[in-house]
Amino acid sequence: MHESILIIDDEPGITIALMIRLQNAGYTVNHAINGLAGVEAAALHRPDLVILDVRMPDVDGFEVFERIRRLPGLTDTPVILLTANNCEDTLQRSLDAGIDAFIAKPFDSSVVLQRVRELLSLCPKGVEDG
Amino acid sequence: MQPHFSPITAVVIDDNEAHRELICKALAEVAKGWSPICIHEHAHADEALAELPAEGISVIFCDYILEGASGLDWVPDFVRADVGPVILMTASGNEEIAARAFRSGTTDYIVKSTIIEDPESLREAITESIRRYQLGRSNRDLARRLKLANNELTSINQELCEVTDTAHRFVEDVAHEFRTPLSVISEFASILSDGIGGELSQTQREYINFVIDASRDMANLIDDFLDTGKIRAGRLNANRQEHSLQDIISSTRLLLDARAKIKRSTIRTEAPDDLPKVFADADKVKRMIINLAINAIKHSPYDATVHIIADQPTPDDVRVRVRDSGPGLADKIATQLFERFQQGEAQPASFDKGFGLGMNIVRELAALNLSTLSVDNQPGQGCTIAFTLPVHTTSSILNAFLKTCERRSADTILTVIRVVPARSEAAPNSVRNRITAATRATDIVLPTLEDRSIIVVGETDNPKSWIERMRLDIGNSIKSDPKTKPCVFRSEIIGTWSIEDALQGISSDIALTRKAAAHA
Repeated sequence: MHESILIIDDEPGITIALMIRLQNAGYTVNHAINGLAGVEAAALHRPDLVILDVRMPDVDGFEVFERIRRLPGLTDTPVILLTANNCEDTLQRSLDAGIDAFIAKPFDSSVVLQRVRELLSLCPKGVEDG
Repeated sequence: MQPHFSPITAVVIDDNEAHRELICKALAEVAKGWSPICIHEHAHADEALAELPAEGISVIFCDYILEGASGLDWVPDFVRADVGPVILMTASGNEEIAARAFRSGTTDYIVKSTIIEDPESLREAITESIRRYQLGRSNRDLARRLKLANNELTSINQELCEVTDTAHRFVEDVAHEFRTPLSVISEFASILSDGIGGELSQTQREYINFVIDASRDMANLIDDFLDTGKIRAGRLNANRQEHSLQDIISSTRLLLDARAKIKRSTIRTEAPDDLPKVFADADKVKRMIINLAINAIKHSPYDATVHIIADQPTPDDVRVRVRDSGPGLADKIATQLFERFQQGEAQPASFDKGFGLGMNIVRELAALNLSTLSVDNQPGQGCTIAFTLPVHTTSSILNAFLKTCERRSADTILTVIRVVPARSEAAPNSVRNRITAATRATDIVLPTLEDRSIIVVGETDNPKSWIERMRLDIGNSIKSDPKTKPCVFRSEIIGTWSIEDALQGISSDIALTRKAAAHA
């Protein structure tokens, strides 16, 4: 069984490139294009890792993060936050909120891939890597 | 003897009735055939002040002695009324009185006997004092208009600065916006190249690699451009710490090997194992190496080698040399490059010939890293560009810092302060980090000494305001994040020196500090 990843991001281009890379690396990837759809998708697919954009049209990324964390079974799911800037504010909020990692946009998908691997290896599902 | 065209008023203030009569008579006489004079006479100065004519010019003749008081005490009031010249009258001439008269603002000083017996001199005195008064008035008017013009100029200047700033920020915002679609181009080109969208032919892969290389180039360009903006605005700070140069060079390999593919170039790095640690901002050194190496790749032919060599030419410095295998630079270009290296910081508007924006940023970052840049051009064999970094010892760092200051401006005054974290500070590094964040890129925070004190050197001849600003910056950063513990430290000014004397002054004082720590 492959590990599943949920990407919640409204920007098409770079997100799709990331999806392709992740799928190519053997992960199952789902994609939601706004915060609310993201929370629904998380409840439905129960991903092993979530990649989430901090800025979205409907709900603030941190809010989405809180809601996902409250879903049953997802309290410890690793979350990577994608930020548009490296500002201290976001960093501090991330650390306070318990976000596992954050990556600035525009990102290099190989960097994201590496973080995904690291975070998933920290919380093994008891299955082999895809 | 020129007639005046506007009516003059003479205001005579004298408490002696007899004198007053004679003076008024003399004035009336002098007016005949010359210029009509309207005469007001007063026994008391306050009366005269209250009844000064509103229009025309009034020549005020004020007696030196008025009812036992001094006429001089009233002079400032008459001068302030600004209706005309004030002439002090005395019974007898006296240099001291004359001096005091002029000091208090009178235009002239005249002996009463002259008024009464010498009409020529009286006329002259009146003419001259009116002339001087009018001159003074026109001067004051000019000064006022100059001030207004200046104010307007200042305000226009400010507007201009704001407009320029807005323009710069706009351009920077645009550059920022470029990054996103650029990364999409880069990512998909890379996905194609890796065969994820389907196996590629050799030719297809070669073509797509051109796209990848160009988009990476552009990403680098945008980074350089945005950094130039930050440096210009003083927003780029230097985070100088102790680092291993070998580690920094290794961290560039991933990116450089990818960029080298386009020309099938080889990147060779050489660094001896016993290289001492350096004091530098690792990210910026990495950027310098990457920019220089990318330039070297561009200047070299296909299938060539680019060398990155680290060594220690002097006890104080570690050096990084980047050598290409190209034909070398044209003499003129090499000379120009050398001269610009000598000058220090880059002028953002103009590129170094043959190098584009990349070299600009290298020069800026070199200054931030206290580096000295040099070029060694060997026509036919290649060009080597090198930069130094100070070894991580207080004296080497200080030397490098002083050299950088001198390059910027030989007349700089340096202020040295010692910061001592409070005993209650569990992590002295927190104080150090705060101070580093609060200092400018042109200041330097030396390595913490054995007694936990931190020496900070700044380019300023106003230590108090510098420290004040630092404390304010630190205070502000604490305020914006209430979870941070307050940072407690004491600071003392060690001294201010010119660059020439700084090395001796600072070093000897640091030596004293060490001694004190040893005895503590």
